[in-house]
Amino acid sequence: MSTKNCEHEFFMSDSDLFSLYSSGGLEKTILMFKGLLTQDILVVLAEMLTNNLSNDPRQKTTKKMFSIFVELAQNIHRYSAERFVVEGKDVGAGIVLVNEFKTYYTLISGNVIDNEKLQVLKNNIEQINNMDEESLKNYRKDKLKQKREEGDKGAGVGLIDIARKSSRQIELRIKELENNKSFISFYILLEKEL
Amino acid sequence: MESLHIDESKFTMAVDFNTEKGLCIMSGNSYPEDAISFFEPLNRWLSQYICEVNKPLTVEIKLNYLNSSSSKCFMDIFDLLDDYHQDGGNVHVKWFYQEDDDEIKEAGEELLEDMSFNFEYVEI
Repeated sequence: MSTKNCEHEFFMSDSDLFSLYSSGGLEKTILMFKGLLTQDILVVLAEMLTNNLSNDPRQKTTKKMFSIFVELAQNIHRYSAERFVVEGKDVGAGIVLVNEFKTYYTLISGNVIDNEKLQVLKNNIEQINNMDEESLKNYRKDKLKQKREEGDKGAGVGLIDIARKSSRQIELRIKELENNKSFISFYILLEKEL
Repeated sequence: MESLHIDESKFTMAVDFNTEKGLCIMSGNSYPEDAISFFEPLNRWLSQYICEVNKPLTVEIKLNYLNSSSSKCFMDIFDLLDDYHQDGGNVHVKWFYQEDDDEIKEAGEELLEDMSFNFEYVEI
């Protein structure tokens, strides 16, 4: 007789997994990943994503997609409040989702952040969304010339690059959680360029 | 002064800095999460070359893709080369881009347009 028990309380129920599976819109999801965004995983996901773009002979959309995806994933890596140490490196966790529609792609990323960082992020997005192409270009150059803040490995231009390469304004959604934390998500639209 | 060689990886570029010839070639992808650490030895070599060797320097850059934090590191390098040029150093930068690759071409233009040293864009 088997001694293995089948105790369902250890797992999510089947319907939970199905709701997750179908939430991206079954046939449209070209990539969904939740977990630690290590450099190795980022490389695999970015290559997988851009190798699979259909009908992009001049690679215009592919290059933009690659760039937006890397910036979103590295923002999670740097700024997620859910952090783990992997092979001696401090890594952030989050979720990324890429869907394909007839004339465009959507890229969505999400992670938890401390509420104290929310206001700066909101202001930054609002400022970027209100800029035209020329102002974004100049703003980016100012940021590249600025001295780095202590301990910041980023350049502060990831969101500017996302805004310049995407086809609509960056949409930031915020869901408040407990313990002074919030779940933030970026919604990015990229039109197919033929 | 010794030369610097860094092997290419999927997300970091190959660096071949021949200090005898005064030629520094970088090629590949650049999207490390921690770009500052990757660029640190290159900055050190360039600074040392400027201080100790003090001869003409040609820099060739052939990229497929660079992320935003690598862009900032390139801006740091070009600022360093600009100072060298203003102090009388001979600097020449060649920024290569694949035909049709507007992303890389524009990235180079935005980094180089205010620099005082000689630079050119080369289609490959």
